[in-house]
Amino acid sequence: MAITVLTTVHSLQAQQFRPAPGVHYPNHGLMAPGQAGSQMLLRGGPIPGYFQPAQIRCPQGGKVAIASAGKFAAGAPSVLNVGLLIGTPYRFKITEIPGLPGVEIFPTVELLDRLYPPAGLATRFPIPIHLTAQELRMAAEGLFVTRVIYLEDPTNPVVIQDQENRQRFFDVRFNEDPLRVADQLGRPMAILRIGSKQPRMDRQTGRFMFSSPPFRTIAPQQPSNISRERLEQAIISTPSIGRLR
Amino acid sequence: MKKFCLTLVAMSGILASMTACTSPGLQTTGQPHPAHLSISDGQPGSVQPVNHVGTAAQQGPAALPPQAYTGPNAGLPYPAQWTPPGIHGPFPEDEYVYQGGDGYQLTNVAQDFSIDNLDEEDTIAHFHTLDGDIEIERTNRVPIYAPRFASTRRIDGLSQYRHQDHVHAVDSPLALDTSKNDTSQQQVKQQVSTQRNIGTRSTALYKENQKLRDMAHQVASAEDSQMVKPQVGDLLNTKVNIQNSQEAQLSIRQQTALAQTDEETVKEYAYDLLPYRMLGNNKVQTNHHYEIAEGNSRLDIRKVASRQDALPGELLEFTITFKNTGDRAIGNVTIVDHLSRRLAYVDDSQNCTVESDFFVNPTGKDSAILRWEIVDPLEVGESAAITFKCRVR
Repeated sequence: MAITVLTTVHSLQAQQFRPAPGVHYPNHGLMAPGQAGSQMLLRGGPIPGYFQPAQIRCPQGGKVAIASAGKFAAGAPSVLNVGLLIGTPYRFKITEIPGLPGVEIFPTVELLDRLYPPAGLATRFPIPIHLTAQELRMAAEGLFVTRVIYLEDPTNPVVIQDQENRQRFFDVRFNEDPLRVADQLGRPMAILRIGSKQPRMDRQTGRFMFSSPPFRTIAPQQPSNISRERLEQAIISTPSIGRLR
Repeated sequence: MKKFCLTLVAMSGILASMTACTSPGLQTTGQPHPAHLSISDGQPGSVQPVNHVGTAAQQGPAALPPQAYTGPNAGLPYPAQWTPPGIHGPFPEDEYVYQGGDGYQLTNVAQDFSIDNLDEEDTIAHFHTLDGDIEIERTNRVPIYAPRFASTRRIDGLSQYRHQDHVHAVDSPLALDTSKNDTSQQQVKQQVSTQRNIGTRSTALYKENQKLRDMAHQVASAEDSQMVKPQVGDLLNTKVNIQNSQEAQLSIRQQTALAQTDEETVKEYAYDLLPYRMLGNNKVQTNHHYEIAEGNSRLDIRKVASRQDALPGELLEFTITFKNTGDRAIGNVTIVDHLSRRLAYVDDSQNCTVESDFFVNPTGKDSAILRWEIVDPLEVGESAAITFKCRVR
């Protein structure tokens, strides 16, 4: 009986993650947290040891906290900016979710790649990882949400105006690999997994928090007192123009 | 896996122990037992390593001095602005939005002002010369750091994950039922080698005789030198009868023969006499001399952006400056800018310092082509500027 179930499920997985012709995809989005990222580390390059800034955003009113030193730190309201290592899974805690009183969700985030911004702009361009109220509600009801955040190919963008507080996403079919679809549309950067798993704290191994890997806190930016309209008016000032011969 | 985690954690300890940080405003923290990093004073940007706890950490790379670490990048954190060796300029390209230049295909302009191969992001200018020709000038390429993110989502139900849990929980039924105990052979054959050797002894007396005869023959051969033959004819037939009294005479003649047959080579050598003191290296430098013939029509056009980086939703202002740098007036000057799809033109935001007609031509790819047709001819040395704003998508 067990062999029958094993064979059936393996054949089902083989159908789901069948690679495209001519392309080999060793990873898929439904692997355990940390597996795909560790494969990225093995590829080498300037990835190990780099703390890639990321922005974890939950619905307005909620609080988001990251596992630190075996426990969850104080939650930040709505937005948490942290520098995360690539390839290491991190556990977060979402509390005070609007519409879900008393519910706590513990999503995981795993970075797959990094950005290469100009000097001094690393914290201005974090990888946005947004958790919507709908996804948190689905997770609380027992569903499992996998999101693959990717860097869009600038030569083939979706022509819509992006909003600051809402990350664009679209659902893939049940038999499609979200990581592979993201790879076809751009460069996969992070995997967000939201489920209803509750912590069973194991002090010996710390498996639930993935041993609380190190991270870096990013000083919050001071909100500007100048309105966006005034800032946009200020842009009108003519920049320095190179002297013509 | 455990070793890998330890390596990562320990490597991060090295990173935090150094003063160089990847980004301003970053502080490192983590759990105390393997990471050894925490915030002590709470000041922004301050990172202070904590004393190591445990033997595993003391033996790891974190306990080594930085110069002893041989991991990636010699233990230093990779900077945020990193480019592969040998590659200059914006890297990687998928994090930038480009505007300007004439990429992919070269743009052509027909006599009826129809434009072919104007790709996205291209910015060109075309004009008529006094000879009736149409000339095309391209602007520089402006890179703007503007990465944009999106995501794919998959929602799975609980039933499917029950199947997966079953798979992970099933024990392997392939247990070992029987075991065979193979008894190896305990009898060992030992080969005994022969312990007796047969020695051969040569006759000592015969050896001495043979030695003497060989020595005599050897002396005779040495005296019968080929160099002696041309000079001493009477010794040719008496080579075996040479007495000791003849050796002195023979040696003299042998020396004579050697002296006569020695080849005398040229003994003079030419030496390169180098100066022992360099007073100067007076080489002819490369000079480029350009002669521009009169009667040329040229237009210098450049493009700049108000910012080099932008988030989605922010405004950018582009400025296109152009100047007649030829020695003849040019006419029908037209500036054409094919915007990237990441840029949306802000209506009524354009401004031109000379009288011009402005058009916005939508394309089939939801991008826009901006066109300025300068009304008056551009005289020699005359310049103008165009500004317009775009919102980053």
